[in-house]
Amino acid sequence: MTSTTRWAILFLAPPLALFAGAVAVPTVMALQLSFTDATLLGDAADWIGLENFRDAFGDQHVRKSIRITLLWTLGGFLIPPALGLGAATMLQSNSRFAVTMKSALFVPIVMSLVVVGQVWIWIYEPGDGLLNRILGAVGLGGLEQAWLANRSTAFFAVFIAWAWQQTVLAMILYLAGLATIPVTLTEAAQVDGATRFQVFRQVTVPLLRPVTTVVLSLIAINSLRNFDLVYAMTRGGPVRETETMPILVYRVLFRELERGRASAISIILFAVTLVIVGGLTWWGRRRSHAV
Amino acid sequence: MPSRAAPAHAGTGAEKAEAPVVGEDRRAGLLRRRGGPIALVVFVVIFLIPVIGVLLTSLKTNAEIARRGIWSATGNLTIDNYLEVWRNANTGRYLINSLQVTGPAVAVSIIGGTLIGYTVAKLRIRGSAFILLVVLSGLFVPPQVLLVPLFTIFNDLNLLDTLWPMIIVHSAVGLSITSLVMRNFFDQIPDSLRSAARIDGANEGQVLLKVMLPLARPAIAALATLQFTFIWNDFLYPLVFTTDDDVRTIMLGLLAAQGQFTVAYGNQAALAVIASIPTVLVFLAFQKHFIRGLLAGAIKG
Repeated sequence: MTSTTRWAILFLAPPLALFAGAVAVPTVMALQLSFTDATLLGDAADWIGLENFRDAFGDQHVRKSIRITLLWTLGGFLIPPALGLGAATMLQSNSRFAVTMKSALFVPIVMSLVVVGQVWIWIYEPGDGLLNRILGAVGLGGLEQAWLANRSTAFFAVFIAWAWQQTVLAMILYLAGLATIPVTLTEAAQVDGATRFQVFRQVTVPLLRPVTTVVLSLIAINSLRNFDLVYAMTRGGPVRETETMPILVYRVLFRELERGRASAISIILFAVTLVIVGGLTWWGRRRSHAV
Repeated sequence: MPSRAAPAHAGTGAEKAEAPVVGEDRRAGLLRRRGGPIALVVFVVIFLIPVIGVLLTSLKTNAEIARRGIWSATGNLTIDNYLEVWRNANTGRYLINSLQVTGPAVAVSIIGGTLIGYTVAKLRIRGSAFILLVVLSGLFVPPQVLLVPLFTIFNDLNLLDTLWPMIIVHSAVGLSITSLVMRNFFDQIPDSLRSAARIDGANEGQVLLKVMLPLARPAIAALATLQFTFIWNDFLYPLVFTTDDDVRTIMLGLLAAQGQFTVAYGNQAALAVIASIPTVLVFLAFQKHFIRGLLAGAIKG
């Protein structure tokens, strides 16, 4: 063994042991548990093959949580990147106002989702929440309601609170991306007679593609891990209308105390994550090689 | 490697943006001068209302909130809520707990990620690619997958209701992102630097400590900011692994307070502001690093 190999092993052993103990081995254990009927604290568990998975796909609550999670991710792909890019384009100037606002707009991203959830609960408050007050003030008082308690509005209400934060995240990343585009490129296009919109569509947006891949990947991961905000705002209610897959796993594990089923649902979530985020990464690489 | 373009440029970009955009057509320019700022102000106001809402509410008396609502404009501001939250709730304890989790977990995850990233990028022993693949696959594992077995493991080890589960899990989970960023960083450092130091008689440990680490400072700062924000704000692991009030982190304390003082909005808001101060401060200090960390993280997965 060369001395370099010995050093390599010395460097790798401690962090890899930690990773194995707290991430890799537990992941394999979760996979194993998903084939059993284990309960939260009971010792005995029987191997039941794919039954948890069959049950899961037949269970309306699981199917609904998959739909909610996918809808959430789709909404996340469509709304925050578009708004974030628009805002970044507007804030691109270096006027004192824009610079101050850029710093102030950072606060939402470093805010914990507990805090975000809390303030949005106040906005949606049925009595004197901000949204109802505004609707009342502009003569749309008829629309006033308990946004988070109403089964048909709860999902959108929580989604908007989340999109508020993710929009700022997208904006910050696009601002960094816009700053890397040489002004000479956009100028040249304008000299050639392109309108501002054409320059934006045909020069700026394609050049931002690497940033767009980052934005979409982060949003996908954040959507698929969406536990914190839903837990802080609705705990998955009303009547499980906002029950994302992470919330469902938590519920099955700690309320229904079924460890085997909870593992199976978490493994499905893992698979969905692999497909979506893996697909995005592949797409991003292919596109960036093509450019 | 075009995919690495973004983080490399992110740092230098700010200067370029200062160059004025010239040659825009006049009608668009007019629209930009009039319509732009108005749209911008509307956008900024909408996006800052929630932040301002928490700040203002934390400065109002609960009596006033009860009388006039959370969102009323107010005349008399007070810091009583802060004093009360500080005295009554276990706030100091929560903050210390959060620091005791965040500090070690940020440090361990970055040290571990530096070791993995450096070894994979520069020592290139056999199996490096596989090791990196395994560690990076951690980015895809939802926390819920880990919760199921970890709850039982920590229960068996008698570690529930201590701070250890959060320190261990955050340190380990963080290795994926820190290894990725550090690997990408060390990839750009020329090999000749290492060989030169080796020829001068330094061993691999000295090369890493004396030559590579000083160079890696910006990458480490980016990761520290990102990891601090992430771990400080987390409440899933504390929610699952602790029940005792004395081991609650600040975010879990805040969540519990929302149930406790259901009508004392002023107190809730004050606690929320206190809980957010550390991340806002870290952000203000390391704004540029934070963006670079975000960009570097998701690229080249």
